[in-house]
Amino acid sequence: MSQILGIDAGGTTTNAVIYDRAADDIIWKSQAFTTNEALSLGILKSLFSLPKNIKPKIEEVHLSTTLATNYILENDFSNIGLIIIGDMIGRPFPFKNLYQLKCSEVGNGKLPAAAQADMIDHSLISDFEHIIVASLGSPDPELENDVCRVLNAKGFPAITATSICTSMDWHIRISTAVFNTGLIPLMQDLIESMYSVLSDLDINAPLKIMCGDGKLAHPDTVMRFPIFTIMSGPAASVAGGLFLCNEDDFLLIDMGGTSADITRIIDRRIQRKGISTIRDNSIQAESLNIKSFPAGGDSQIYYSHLGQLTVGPEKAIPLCLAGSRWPHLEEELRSYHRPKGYEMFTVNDTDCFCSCSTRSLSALNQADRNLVEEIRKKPHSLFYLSEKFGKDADSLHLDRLINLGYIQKISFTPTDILHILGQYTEWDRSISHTAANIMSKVGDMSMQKFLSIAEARITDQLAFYCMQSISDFENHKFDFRDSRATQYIIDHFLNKIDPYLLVIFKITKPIVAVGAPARCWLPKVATKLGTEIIIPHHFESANAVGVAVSNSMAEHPDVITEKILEKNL
Amino acid sequence: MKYILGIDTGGTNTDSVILEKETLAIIAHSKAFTTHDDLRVGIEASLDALDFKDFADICQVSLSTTLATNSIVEKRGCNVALLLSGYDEDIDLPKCDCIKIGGRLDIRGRERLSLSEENIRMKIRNLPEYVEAVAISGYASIRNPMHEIHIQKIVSEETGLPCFCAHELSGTLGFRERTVTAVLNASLICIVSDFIASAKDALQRKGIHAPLMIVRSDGSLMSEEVAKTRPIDTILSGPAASILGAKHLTKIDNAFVLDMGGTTTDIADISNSLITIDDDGSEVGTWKPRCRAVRVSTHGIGGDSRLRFDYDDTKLNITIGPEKVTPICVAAHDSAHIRRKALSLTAADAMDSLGPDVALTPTDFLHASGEYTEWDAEASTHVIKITAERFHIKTNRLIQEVKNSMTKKLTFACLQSTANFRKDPVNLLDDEAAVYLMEKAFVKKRKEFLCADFHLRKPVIAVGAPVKAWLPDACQKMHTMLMIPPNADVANAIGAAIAPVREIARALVRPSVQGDMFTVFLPEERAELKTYDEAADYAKTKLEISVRQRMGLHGKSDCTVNIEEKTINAEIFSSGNKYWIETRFYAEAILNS
Repeated sequence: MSQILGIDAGGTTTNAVIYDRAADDIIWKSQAFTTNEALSLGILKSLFSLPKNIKPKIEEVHLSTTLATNYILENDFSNIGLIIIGDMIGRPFPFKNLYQLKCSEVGNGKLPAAAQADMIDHSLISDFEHIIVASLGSPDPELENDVCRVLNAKGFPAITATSICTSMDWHIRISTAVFNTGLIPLMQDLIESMYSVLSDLDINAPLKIMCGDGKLAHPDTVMRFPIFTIMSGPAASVAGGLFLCNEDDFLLIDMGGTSADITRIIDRRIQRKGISTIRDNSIQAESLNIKSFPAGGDSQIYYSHLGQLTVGPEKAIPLCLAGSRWPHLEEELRSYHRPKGYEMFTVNDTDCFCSCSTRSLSALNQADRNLVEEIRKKPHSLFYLSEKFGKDADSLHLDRLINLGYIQKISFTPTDILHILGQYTEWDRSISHTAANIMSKVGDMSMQKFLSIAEARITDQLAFYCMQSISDFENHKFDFRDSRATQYIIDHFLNKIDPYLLVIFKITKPIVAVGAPARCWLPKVATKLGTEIIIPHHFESANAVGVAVSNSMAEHPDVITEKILEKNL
Repeated sequence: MKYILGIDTGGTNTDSVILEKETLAIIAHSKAFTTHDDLRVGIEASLDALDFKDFADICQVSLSTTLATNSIVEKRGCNVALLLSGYDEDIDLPKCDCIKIGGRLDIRGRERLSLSEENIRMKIRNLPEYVEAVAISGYASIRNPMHEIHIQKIVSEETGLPCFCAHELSGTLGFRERTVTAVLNASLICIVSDFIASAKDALQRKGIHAPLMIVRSDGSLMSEEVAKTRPIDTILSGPAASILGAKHLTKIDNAFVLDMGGTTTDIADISNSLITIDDDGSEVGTWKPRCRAVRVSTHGIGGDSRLRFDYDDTKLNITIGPEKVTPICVAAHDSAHIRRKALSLTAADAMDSLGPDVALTPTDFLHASGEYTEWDAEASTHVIKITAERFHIKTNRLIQEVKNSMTKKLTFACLQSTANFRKDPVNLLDDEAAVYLMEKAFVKKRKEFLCADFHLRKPVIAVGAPVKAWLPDACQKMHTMLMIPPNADVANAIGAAIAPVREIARALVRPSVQGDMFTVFLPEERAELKTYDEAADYAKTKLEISVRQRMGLHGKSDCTVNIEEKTINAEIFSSGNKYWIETRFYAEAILNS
């Protein structure tokens, strides 16, 4: 009875491991694709192969999930109304449903807030599933309660912001309250379906859920404060990385589909942050100091308008993945080509487009509507659409439709390269090959040359992000991409072709790489940065390992308070 | 035996050197202080210090100087009136009286609005009394200088003031820059005339009657007459001379030349034995006058740079320069009063109590470490000791910290220079993030994750008095070879002595607006011809005449003229077709040896 089941339900894959406490080792692991419609389904799939004899020995089940993070990134919280008491100045919120009670002018003959609340037009707030009443400035629970009572008496589901978070910074307080409230039903669903998955599998062990600071929390805590679980995925990887290697000081890189998460570990310790940032909003929730960079398997590889082969930071669905679902895309890429001599600025030769929303097209003009409708029928390649609609590729303005959230881009990515090289075999290699062929012709080079340049660009970009992360960890606010001066220096390091100057940067500590694509890309990055690479055993399941081995418990607070953190974990 | 005398009047020192004309062997050299209130005194002292007697056998005297640069940086110079034609908007200009006088040309140089002579005469008669020189600048004057020439004629009829036209100073497009150039040029006339007069006076007293030449910013020589019409051409005379000197002393084809003086460190580039020249000017102070100049990267770090010490979170911070002060050792040497005061200073005393412009400098630290002995080492040593006490560190540690700071600052200066030698220079030192990356070459913390290593890909030729002390560590840091040639301390005077006489000029042939003719743009005129061949021949003939004429102004008529031409085509990307845009002609006259 000394085994722990660790599950990490990430954006792309769900990993599960069994950690044997007595042996201090991982004795079983498995992987399945995450099903974004119902996380529990992916979890269930990952546990199919769990040996029967292990099940009774399972003492605890630990779960980490990106559910909260992804939901915040992708939703506008339009089901939550926000009633603000006071004059709001300065930073705007990312929520649109604001109703403002200007009670700060009470002294100037205005009505008290509660009286104003009494007069709120019901039709303005009747559609909301939740209403949060928030005071500006310092927290003022009494004032909030006054307003809340008025609304509750009328049957509105109003709660006060200070009952969730008491941060002195009103912006943090309100963001935390809104996000937390929006997440509660989701987290309840997940936990309930987790219980049913576990009981279906005959696993009778308590469930604990990982928080952003790497600690475990009781499901009750998480159902009350789901906001604690944001950034728990990266925290799990860090815990796993620490468990899987014996180094004292190292740079831990977790490379996934969408991002490369980098952590600096000194004396086996990680910095923690009391305030987390998500969607440019500060949240009162602890997390580990992890830097996330847009360099994953699905960064788009394209020619910039200066003709330079470039990787990211824009993302695209890998062609191999899309091709395995929609085989006709390869045929379209083969049959429809760029007219000779035609220059493009906003789109690229291997771009294809698929629909990513079902919302109404009424806001669009007729031409855009036709375009989106065509793509909704099935995904298409750029030049198919160009020919079908008789417009040149740029004037289709597909980039605008992407920004508006109607369609998504499918294009050539590092994952496609790994398929071509045979290092990955999950999806459709053939369409990746076709696209690489097109790309090498556009760049007027052999396929081999194209692939080697693309690989070098990916390596360079990751090396660049490693350097950037170190500056970030040293608490500087520089973005090396913002300045010509840093680009001058870093170019001399990456390209080494100047008659005057050679620059060498070295990372003085080893790089520990985890995550599925880590083995393919990071050894080259380490070579570039003159350091050792360590790819530990179970590197691809490091996040689940981290969840499994975690043992410190978070407390269950009544309300989220500001805390003065000890400096290191 | 014939000799050449080279003299360099810098901000701190006036150096002289005698070369044997045929072999260019160094016969004698000397150093004296520059006397800013009367330049003649310093030049004479430097000539007196030469171990040489045959002054009558000197056949050429070449001068170089940094006086013009310094006067622009320090905003001295004479009072200038600017007569502006054909442009109504305000321009950011160096200090001058700007007077707009009407008239207008279009961008192709065709007259759109003629000049009103009466109006101009009246405005010139009403110029303020204090005006010492006049600059004239007209829109599109390099396409057609007729308005500027006309105005110049009126000025010389109405006043006796020195008067300069913008089109004569710069042949490249860019009205604002050309106007700035004209104003700066006029403001330098008194300085350059005064310098030439002082030098001539000193030379005469020594019985030297050889023709006087002055080093231009591009490293060639000009006669004193030309210098008086184009004083702007002396703005980088000093640096140009020292680069030439360094190159001559080492005979190396690819290198960085670093000239460290009292006030600044200048860094230049020699590639394939050519010194990098900017056709469109070099930055001086806040201005970028349009004149051919060696490309130098100037940094406010020298032997006499002010050192400042302060604590920043328990860490001693040392700031070097950019301003120049009098080193304590020098001040104590010159004044018994300051010496007494310096020796009686305690750690509690204010550091500026020796005077506002007397402070610890790198030179003081060289005296304290025994590397220098020229001035009052005792005063330097004492002040360094009490400074160390003030910051609670050992004296040796302070000396080491200053050494490290100098190494870092010089390394940064060299790195910045590599960025300045590019087509589109980048400022590294004002960029916090870039400095962060450069600092990574100097950090030694145990838990440091990132370190950097910078390799200069060329050797450094270093000249100037303090380089022996400060450069070895910096060059080691940059993994490059350091060469300090013998006589490096008078490299600038040697450079002046060996500078060549050379003239260049440019022309352009383009299709005319109507497309049926060919337009020739020359420095002094613009002409339209029927065929391309006629136009090209005309350009070449005129260019040759022009450069020969200008060589004549230097008193050198025995010369060879080389003309190069370069055709500029535009390629249409999709079709691959090429279209002729223009042909550029470069003429260069060099003296026959």
